[in-house]
Amino acid sequence: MEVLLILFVAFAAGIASGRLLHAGPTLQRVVARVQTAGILALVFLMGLALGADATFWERVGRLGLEALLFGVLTATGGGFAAMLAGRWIERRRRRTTGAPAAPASPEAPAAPAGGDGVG
Amino acid sequence: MTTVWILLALGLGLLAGRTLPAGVTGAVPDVVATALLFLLVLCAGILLGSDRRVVDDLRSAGFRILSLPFAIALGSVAGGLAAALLLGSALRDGLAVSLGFGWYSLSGILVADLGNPSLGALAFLSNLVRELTAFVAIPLLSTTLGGFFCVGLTGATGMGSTLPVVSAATAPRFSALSFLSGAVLSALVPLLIPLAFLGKA
Repeated sequence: MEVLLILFVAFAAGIASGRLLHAGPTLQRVVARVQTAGILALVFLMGLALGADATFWERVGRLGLEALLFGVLTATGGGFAAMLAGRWIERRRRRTTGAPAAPASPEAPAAPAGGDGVG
Repeated sequence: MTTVWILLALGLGLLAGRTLPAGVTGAVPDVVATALLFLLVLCAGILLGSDRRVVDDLRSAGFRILSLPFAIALGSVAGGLAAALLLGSALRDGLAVSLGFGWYSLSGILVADLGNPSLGALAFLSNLVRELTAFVAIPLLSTTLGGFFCVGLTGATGMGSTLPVVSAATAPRFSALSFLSGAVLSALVPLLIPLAFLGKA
């Protein structure tokens, strides 16, 4: 619970910093690069912790295929349901506000041109 | 291309963890990964805060935004039930596993406690696969299936570990949606998993 609270504070602090600093393209590019390097480091550390855990390998050998099916189908189910909900939200938003369609997606990455954001 | 880098980082990490002596892998404390996660979430916040259109955009969608995490929950459960049917498992097991929404540490413990250790192990591994699926698939699919799909892939992890990937691969407003839906789904995990075992002998 403490971690969730700290994540919330970090996210809110980031938003406030972004607004206060008027982060321009240069700062955005730096942040995007830090983000990309950080994601790779985080995934590496995750692999390191899992790889060192003997019970993880035992579980993979025993339940790997089942887990793969459950993991991929729950993620895909969530993804398509979110897509449908997103279409509904956008349609209602346009009907209520008369605003032009927010670019549904695909959307441009947050990283400015020249940045190496993931994706 | 970035998906390749993510897979490579994961593979190298697994290999290093498997082959290096415990003294070496144990020297990398959890606190480093946690600090890195906070830094990445801060970065996602900065990129979001620097786009002034996002707040107006989200405000115009209103409370309907809250339908997003509930849709993701329903879609995840549908996926879990489909997997249970394909494997010939009990639907209750599929339901319990899917209600982790990617939060593998908590769901593994809860399902093992309320169900049985074997099902708990399956819940742990399945939800870990869900998180890894999000890491790998978001950079690949963000342009074809869009930001909402990416948010749906992340489940409860959308407010934490997979938020930086959403932030890097989609438009800024999807970072806010990912954080919001991740927070709601995280709150639902400990409430919903016990419901899957109601009436269990």
